[in-house]
Parts: sequence; C-alpha cells; structure tokens
Amino acid sequence: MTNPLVTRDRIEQEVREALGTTLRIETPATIDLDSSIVNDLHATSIDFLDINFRLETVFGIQMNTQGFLDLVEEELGDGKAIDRDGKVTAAAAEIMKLHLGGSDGIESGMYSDETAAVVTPRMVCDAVEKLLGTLPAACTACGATEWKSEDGAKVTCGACGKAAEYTPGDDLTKRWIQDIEREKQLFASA
Amino acid sequence: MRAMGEFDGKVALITGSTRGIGRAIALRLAEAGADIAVHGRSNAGPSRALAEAVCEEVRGLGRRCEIYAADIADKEAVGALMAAVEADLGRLDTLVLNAARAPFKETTRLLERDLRQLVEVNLFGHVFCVQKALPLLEKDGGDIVFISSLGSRFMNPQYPLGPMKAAMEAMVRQWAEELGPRGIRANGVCAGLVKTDSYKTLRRLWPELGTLPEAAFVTPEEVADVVAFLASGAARAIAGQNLVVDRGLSNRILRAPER
Repeated sequence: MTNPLVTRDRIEQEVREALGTTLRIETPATIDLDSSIVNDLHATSIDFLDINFRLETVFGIQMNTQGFLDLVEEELGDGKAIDRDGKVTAAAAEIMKLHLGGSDGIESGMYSDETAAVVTPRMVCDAVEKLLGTLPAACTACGATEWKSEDGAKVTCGACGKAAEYTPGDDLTKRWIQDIEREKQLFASA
Repeated sequence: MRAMGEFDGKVALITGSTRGIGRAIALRLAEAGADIAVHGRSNAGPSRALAEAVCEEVRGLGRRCEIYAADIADKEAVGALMAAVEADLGRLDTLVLNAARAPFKETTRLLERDLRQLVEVNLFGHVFCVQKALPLLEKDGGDIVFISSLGSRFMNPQYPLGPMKAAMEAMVRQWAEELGPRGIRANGVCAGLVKTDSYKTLRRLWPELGTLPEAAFVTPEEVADVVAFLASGAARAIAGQNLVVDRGLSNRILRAPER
C-alpha cells in the first residue's frame, strides 16, 4: 500500500534533507541513494536519532525506536537473533536479508553492531513509504474517509483536521516479522 | 599562560567524557587546573575523533590530557585503565563516574542482554572503577562524583536507566561512609533535563519534552560547575549527597495526571 497523498519523490527529497542537515552535507541532492549511511556518509548511531526525528516531524510518522534484530528477539525470543558473543545468528541473517530486500552485506556470524553499515538512504525511503502506507481508511477521531495534505507530507482528516494516525514503526516491523516467520519458519529449528 | 586553579597539580578521570556532560566536566576541571584523563568506551572512528577534540581543548588550557578507551563493564579493562592513568599522569585525585549506556524501552520489552548490559555498565562498571581507582584515590585523599539523573527519583518514559541511577545514588551514600575514613569523599550530581545525545532519543519517546520552555533545561556546563564544586575543598563538609541540579524542575508539578 502506498499513501496517495505523499509521493515517492517527496519522500526521497525529505530523506536527503534529513541526511544533509544531520550530516552537514551541503548538496543533499547529490547523495547516492544506494550509499552506506554509516560507511559512506559517516553517520553515527546518534545521527540516526536525528535523521529519524526529522522524518517523524515532517511526515507525522513514528520511525522504529528499536533495532530490527531487537524486534526479532522481542517477537521470537531472547537470544534468537544475536548470540552471546554479539554475533548475528543464521536465522536472523536470513530474516534481515528478506527485510532489507536481499542485502549483500548481511552474513550469519557478523557482529550485530556491524549490520547498521548496510542501511542506505533508499532503505530509509522504503521504511518511510511503508509507514505512510498504513494510512487508515477512516479518521480515528471522526470516521470521515477523506484525507488531505496541504504540504504533500503531513496528512490530515479532510473533515475534522486531525493528523492521520499511522501504525508505529516498531509495530509494523513486528507484524512483518510474525508474518514472515509464519510463512518461512526460519526460527522454527533455531 | 595557565592560571592558578583549585585543582592545580591534580589529575581527574572522567568516564564517558568524549561528549555531552562528561566533556563539559573535563573542560571545567581543566579550567580549574586539573590534568585530565578523557575516557570513552571505544577507541575507533567517531569516538576517537571526539576524544581528540576534547583533548585538544584541554591542552589549549595548558593542562596535560590523555585519552583512554575501556569498557567499564570489563573489570580487567578498568584495571588497565587505572594503571595507564597512573603511568601517564602519575596520580588520580578526582574520579567522575559519568559513563552510561542503556536502551530506551519499556522494562517489559527489555531483552536479557539489554538487562545485563544495563546492570553491567551502569552498576558493575562504576563499582569496578571505584575498586580499581581506590589505591590511587587514597594516596592524597580523593573525590568521587557520580553523575545521576532525575530518572533516579521520577519515572521517565522508556528509561530503564532510571532504576540504575537510583541504585547508584544509594551506592554513593555507601561509599561516603566506607571510604570517608580513607580520605575519599563521594557525592553525586542528579542532573535535570540536559540537551545532550540522550535527549535526542527522549524527545522522540516523550513528545511533551518539546513543549517545555528552554528554562526547564540545564546545560552541561551548569552540571559541570557543580561537579567542580563537589570535588573542591569548598565542599569538604559534603559527603554522601546527591545534589539535584535541575533549575527547580523537580520542585514543580509540570505533568498533570491523565483524565
């Protein structure tokens, strides 16, 4: 599902802006959407907080507050994604690849804190797009089914003006984890 | 030219001093005359660059400064840290326990490794630091200052570090009694809302924070001033206290109960 009121172009523009402002990149339009935010754009974990905060403010969404592997463990059990040495388990590597659309950088046995290096601006755009795609059919406040957006980013109810309530990022990811595990049984024998 | 200061000839180690409050404390104590041991968990990448920037500022004030990397949850690494400080800087007079590491999530969502890290860094880590620093601190009488937060006494959303801070405030009282006879004073500074890196997480989890006036926030420098006071001779009669430095925030009721 995509949000009919927020275009992919607008999402990419805002992701570039968020990266540019946080990482002090003077020409955000030149950012390669397939670059590594950590390795190529030199972001730290703290920078990701800033980037997410900017996107949340612009679009009225809630980006993930926890790392993907933490969410896997919340759903499927302690120690299932990261072993005692801090390394990614085989099942976790598989599910993470599926989540990221088949990233080459994820391997079983790599240290969990190295996984952030595979994140690209395009993946951030995808995440924002997925969250915006959870726009409910009707306004949770008044039940009206007419949405509008004056700035092409924030969506409000056409009747009562209330901001759209999207599914929080953690919840959306956890739902995806449950669905994919039901289908693939990656952790069944792990 | 370096000015004479309260901490002239003394050495201070501030854990977690590559940024935020720790950095401000390092600079404040350096201004007051102390040579500084800057500490961070990692010695690579951005952390190293931050540590070097603090070190440069300290040296610019005419003080000696060295950088150390150690995971304070690792007792052996803490032992090596203290040995290195003694070898490089010759002594240790002030130990500021500022380092912290914690996830921001509800306690019911804490994974086993979250919980272990929480306790191992924020409780064990500080105790290891004090145990390993004791031989140095008691040589000429030293000071321990722990950096706490309002989370020690008030609930903050998704802030499991709060209970650790509460335990550590009790530890400060314990140390004050146990170490007082050995010439070591222990106190804490319970900081209010400070706009450091952790604020970047808190403001996402606690949207009301964004509505608070600027006057509700304490600066790292204001916290550092109180640390310098507590570690100075002027505070010689204060022991086992955790001073709240929050511009009176906790003295007011700001959050109404939900209807």
